[in-house]
Amino acid sequence: MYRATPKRHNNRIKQLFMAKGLTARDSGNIADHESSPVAGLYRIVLNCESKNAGAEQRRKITVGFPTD
Amino acid sequence: MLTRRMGLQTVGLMRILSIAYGQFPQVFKLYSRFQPGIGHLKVILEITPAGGFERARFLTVFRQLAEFFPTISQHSCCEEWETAPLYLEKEDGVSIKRVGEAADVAHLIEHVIVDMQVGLGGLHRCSGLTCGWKDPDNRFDLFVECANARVGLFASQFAVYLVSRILTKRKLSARNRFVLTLAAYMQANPSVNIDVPGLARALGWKKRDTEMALSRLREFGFFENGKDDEVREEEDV
Ligand SMILES: [Zn+2]
Repeated sequence: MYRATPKRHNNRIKQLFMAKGLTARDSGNIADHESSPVAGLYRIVLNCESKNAGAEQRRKITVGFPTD
Repeated sequence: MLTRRMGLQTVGLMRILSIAYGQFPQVFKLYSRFQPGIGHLKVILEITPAGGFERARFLTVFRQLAEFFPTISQHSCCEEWETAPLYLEKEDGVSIKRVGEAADVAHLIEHVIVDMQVGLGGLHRCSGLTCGWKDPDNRFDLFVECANARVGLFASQFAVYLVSRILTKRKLSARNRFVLTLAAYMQANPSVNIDVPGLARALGWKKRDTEMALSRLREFGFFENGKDDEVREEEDV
């Protein structure tokens, strides 16, 4: 199970990209991961899923396709 | 008009505010089918202007994307929401449902990121959520299962780029396929040297196409060091 202590919390989230000039606070409540997403924050939630793909549906490497 | 600054900070109609990767336990409250132990990307996106996204435009974008990512036609979408007080239009042959607002753009991007987690990121199955903020109403959090942060970073930025290109140019250049194919090749051959002549030879491509694809991969974070790892569920001690 997860532990929600601040120390562990920091270890669990990696910031990969932040728009220049923005702080974590500006970009929403990203710094506050334990409360995001919170109930009531969103007006719409859409859920999506890939079908079970398996190896046979992995994209094949193709070469020599035409360019425009 | 396509505006690009600082990688993909701003692309045409949309702006990536941030991309993070890790465990977001709260998302399980929003969607029960997420797989335990797999990390999530959280992409915060702003779409400008917040406004209508009419049917013809939605279908144009979907069909262009489905040419690039044929497996998105097999995705399931909003299945738990059939009776929700939310208008979802189902179109024959279109796997992604339309809401008729800016959320549609974010939603299409989320499906592309989902698809790339299966095609490139090593997941057999992948789920995602598009969450539209109340305020500001043009801001969206996308949560997508992800097993590799570096691939997730690339997929997020490439997906935003592709959708933006369709919205601004109406048609995706076939050259973008080089980018996707090279990404798949690099994932399948992780120890291959990143040099243009060698890759061009291996793939049977022209050097300038190889160079273009490599530079896009770089731009979209595909080679970011230190991000090629998984976030594992931690155990109570
Ligand atoms: Zn969907």
